[in-house]
Amino acid sequence: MELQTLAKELNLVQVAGLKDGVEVTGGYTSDLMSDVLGQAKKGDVWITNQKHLNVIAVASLLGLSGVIIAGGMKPDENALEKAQQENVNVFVTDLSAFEVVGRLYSLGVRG
Amino acid sequence: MAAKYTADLHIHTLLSPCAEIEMIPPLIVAQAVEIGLDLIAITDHNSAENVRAVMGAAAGSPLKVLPGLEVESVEGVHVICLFDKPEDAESMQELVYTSLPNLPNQSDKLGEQMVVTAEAEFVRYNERLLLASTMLSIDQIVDAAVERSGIAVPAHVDRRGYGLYGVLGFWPEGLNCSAVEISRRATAESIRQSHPDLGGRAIISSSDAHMLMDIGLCRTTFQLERRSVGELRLAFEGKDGRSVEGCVTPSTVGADSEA
Repeated sequence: MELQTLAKELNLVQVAGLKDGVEVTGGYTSDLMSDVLGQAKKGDVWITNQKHLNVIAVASLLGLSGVIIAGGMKPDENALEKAQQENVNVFVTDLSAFEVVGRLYSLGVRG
Repeated sequence: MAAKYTADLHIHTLLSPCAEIEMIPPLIVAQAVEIGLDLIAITDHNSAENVRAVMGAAAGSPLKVLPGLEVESVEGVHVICLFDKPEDAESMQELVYTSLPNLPNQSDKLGEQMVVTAEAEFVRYNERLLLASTMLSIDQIVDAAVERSGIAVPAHVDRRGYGLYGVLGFWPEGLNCSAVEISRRATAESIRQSHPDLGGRAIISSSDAHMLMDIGLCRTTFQLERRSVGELRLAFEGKDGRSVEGCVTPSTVGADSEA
């Protein structure tokens, strides 16, 4: 399903990346980069509370469809810059990671 | 002239709630001397309130004690901050205290956090929740330590929990540290192999001792002219005859050569 559709449903605020035509093929949630590197798949939308530069690097490396930074966390300045440079789709929300994952799951996104 | 010194730069006292109650200044010093350490650092979680006590307990002994603390970054990474003077460690502590969540310790679940004298007399409980992350990023912690004439070393980087590589996956661009610490489960060789992005950075090994028998379980040998932060900095960079000679961890037989 379309990333933009999901973002609209959850009222996510987009802070970097493309606006259209991004296909979400799955979902993953973790705050440990080593775990995400080992387990997440290309096309997954990733939900995390982490906001640092390596989040963007990992998302870009794996070809994830997008990153949702949950819990009211805002990306670090250097992370935001890198996301904008590399067109990594980043969203922020005040919803907890649990809420985000739950709502995405009810919309049909699977791990 | 540089000489060989054996160090364990990551030791907790009973101020850390997860440490055993036996981690009192006189016993820490006695154990360190007994097993032949020349240099130790006291690095309690997010606090330096027992450093003067351990430094006092070591007065007159052959052991040198550096005051420090183990700060938890906002990302959940532990960073050892080492200083020469207790005032500098205390200044770092003040910054850390303003950056911790304003929550009380739950001693029944986490353990007691005890401040003691050099003779191990009870002074008070530290009521603040110390087992928590600060709002400081790793960069901010490193910069703050350097600003206070100290040095910052990411702790047990091989560990999945609280270790830089576990949490961040790879070396974060622009992080200015010349050394990293590995845990008892790694060797210098294994970490260089699995993380080539370490580059030329020095690797040290320390015990992260929370109980007496773990002091010196992992240790690092250095070539230093004096036991100070400035000398450690030179050793990490391999400058002017100072160097990190080797790490001894339970996984190694003898010293892992850093050459």
